[in-house]
Amino acid sequence: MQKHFTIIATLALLSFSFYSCDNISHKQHYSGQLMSIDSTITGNAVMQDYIKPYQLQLDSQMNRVIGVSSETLIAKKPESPLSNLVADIMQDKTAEYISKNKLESLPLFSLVNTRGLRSDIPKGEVLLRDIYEVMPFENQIVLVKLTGETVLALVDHIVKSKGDGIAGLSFTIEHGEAKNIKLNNKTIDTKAHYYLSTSDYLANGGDNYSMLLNPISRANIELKVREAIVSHIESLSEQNLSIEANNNKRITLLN
Amino acid sequence: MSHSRRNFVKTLTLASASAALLPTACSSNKDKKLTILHTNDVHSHIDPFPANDKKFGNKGGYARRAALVKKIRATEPNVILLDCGDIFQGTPYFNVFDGKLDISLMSKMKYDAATIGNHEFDSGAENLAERVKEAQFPFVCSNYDFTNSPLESLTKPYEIIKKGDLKIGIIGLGIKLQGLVDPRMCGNITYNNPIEVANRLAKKLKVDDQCDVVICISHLGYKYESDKVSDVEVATKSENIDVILGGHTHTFLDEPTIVTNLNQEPVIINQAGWGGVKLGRIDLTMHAHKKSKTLAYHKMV
Repeated sequence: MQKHFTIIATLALLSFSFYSCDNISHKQHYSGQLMSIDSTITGNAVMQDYIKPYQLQLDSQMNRVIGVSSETLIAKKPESPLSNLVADIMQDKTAEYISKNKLESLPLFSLVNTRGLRSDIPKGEVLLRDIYEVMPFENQIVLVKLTGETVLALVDHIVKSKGDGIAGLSFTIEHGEAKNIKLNNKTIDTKAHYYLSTSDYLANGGDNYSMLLNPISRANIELKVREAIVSHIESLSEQNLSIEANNNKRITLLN
Repeated sequence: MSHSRRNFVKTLTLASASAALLPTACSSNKDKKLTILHTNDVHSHIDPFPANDKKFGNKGGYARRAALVKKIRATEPNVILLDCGDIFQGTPYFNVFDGKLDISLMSKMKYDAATIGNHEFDSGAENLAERVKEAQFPFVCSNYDFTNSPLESLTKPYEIIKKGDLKIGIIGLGIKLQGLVDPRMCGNITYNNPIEVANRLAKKLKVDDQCDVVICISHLGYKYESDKVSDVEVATKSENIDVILGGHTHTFLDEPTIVTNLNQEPVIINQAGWGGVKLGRIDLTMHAHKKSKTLAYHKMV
């Protein structure tokens, strides 16, 4: 084997020295760019015609005004008006479910992953389409019962994730650690039980919330996160109210 | 294998290949050119973004992309069109049509291959399996094992695509789904180490199958602060891969990143942001009389 290699190597060396055309550099070239797709390009007509009927069907389903927003609401970490709003809505809808079903009375808080809120709520008229873009996922709201110990593990993970949307819970972050943690304005008792309203995505361990995988109990409140947002905005509209940003601090970064 | 031995083998391959090709190569000194076009994380942005979108107002759209691709195909000899995953989810088109429209538009645009991103599972593995069956292009998934899942035997572990007299090897790398995708949505999928799989297949494609270029289409993500596997890490620990096209992190690279691999050879990494507002393009020029083990690219000024 080694001998065979040597022979080829020798041949190769010979050919290198004999053929002058190998002086052509064996450099190979590349160029790279991101080309803009914008209004300077006229769309392919065949494709536009193909898309049209889908577009019309979608418009008829989605371009319904469901409410008005007093400002543009964006979602960002550690906290933001939009993640606060969605967390508030989930907490409210779950509280309704608890009282309607006469469940045990326990402190309730909520959690939504900020990165799961995929767009903004625009200022002015809000279309059903906008809410589909904010919350495109078919996530269901679930109610899970946790020990205080698990709640603290969850808070640690929120800190590690640089914040997520919460309601009914607040803390400060100092040197990468959660301090002054309050659930419904009270200190958490590691042995006590608490209710969390969240999405089935997070309750199934999504975004590495693995501490939620084995709760004391879990129930589906039979409402999608998106349906909850739409229903909240529609009920504001019925009262001639617009969506207001809620800027009250839940996660405070110190340092 | 020691480092020097590896270099020896590499030089040998280079040299023996040129020795075999030299007599004819001297007379026909024609360059081979490959134009790689790529998208990632289009997220069901079928139409251009609405005019009032703060970042991407009136940008993107499948019909415009189709027009641009058609124009490039008319002027370049060898064009390959690839997608790096997260085709689905992000506009109501996906909620209403389950990705059917996206796949049929990509088929009409004659995509050559795509890989599966985590959001492809958002309507469940059964729905994705239907879309993969409808697609007129292969889904290349090298490090997912779909045994006993609805996707079993529907995807390709690798693909060889011919463009003119160029042979292009394609590998597809998917992200770890655990903790990212609801297990009830993606079903039974085994995630294999992308670096091991990529190196094994790249060697097969480059050495055994004599591909001119090996391209990895990846949904791993460009780079992470944590130890999560990324395109940059794969490139650093790779052999026989020339180009890595990425997705997942929605990274807009103004120009491709060059990373040195295990053999100190350059690997080109590119990613085209998201939403279909950009079309990634890499033009490679290879000298006709060279069939090297790894392409030694130099940036064209």
